[in-house]
Amino acid sequence: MNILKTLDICSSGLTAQRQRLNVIAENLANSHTTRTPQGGPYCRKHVVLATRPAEEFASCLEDSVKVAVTDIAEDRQGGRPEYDPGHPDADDKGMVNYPNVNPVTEMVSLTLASRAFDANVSVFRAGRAMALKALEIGR
Amino acid sequence: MSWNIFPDRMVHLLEQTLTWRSRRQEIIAGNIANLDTPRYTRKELNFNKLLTAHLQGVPTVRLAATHAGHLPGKPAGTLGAVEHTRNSVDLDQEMVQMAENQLGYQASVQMLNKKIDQIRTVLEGDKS
Repeated sequence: MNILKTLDICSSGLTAQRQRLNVIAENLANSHTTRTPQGGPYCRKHVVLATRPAEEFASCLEDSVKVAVTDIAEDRQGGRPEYDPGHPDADDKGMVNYPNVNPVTEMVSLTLASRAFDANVSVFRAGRAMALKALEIGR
Repeated sequence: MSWNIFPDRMVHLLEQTLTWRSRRQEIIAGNIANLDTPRYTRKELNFNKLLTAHLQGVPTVRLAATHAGHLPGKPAGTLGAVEHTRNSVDLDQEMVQMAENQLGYQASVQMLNKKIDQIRTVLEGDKS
């Protein structure tokens, strides 16, 4: 049904933005992590969004498309070296390689993600209002 | 005897309007869901164009049915009415369009209800 498809598209947007929020939270939480199981400092992560067909077997050439997180990729920039000779992970020159997480950038992304989430909620509400209104036909 | 309960094409038009409105809502939802998708360009269902085309009765191309068993196939509906604008998605613009769309939908439902009320009044006669 048409209206339910709208709600479905909204929910895909909500899921994608929530996942984005999760990754931002992870980045912020690990902004000073210098040790990871892979070795070296934590690497900032990016969420890569891509369109998805609105229905399971429809093609992407359809008019309305959902969104989905296709990949959570690591930032291509290296770490952020900082002089901190007392740190246990400092090299012989006293430099520590901190993660390349910039709290300001993360906070801006956080705001953007939360606004986009709100927008999807509004669309959901509108779609639901339309469906409820349609139920009133002939009453 | 062909007895048409709806003498004008109003109810049919309203029904079409509701279909287009919900289609438009779907496309706006797709645009907003893909706010942050790289290289996504916004799509638009031009409601006015669809309505004008419908009111003017655009000639539709049909396949010739040379046998009684030939089925007419599905009408095109909103096919081809969705435009791919080359612009990126603007949240404010989408929200305004969505609000407008929702109001239009509610207006159509209200009109449809009034129409049905009229018919009901006729059917029930003067009861008081």
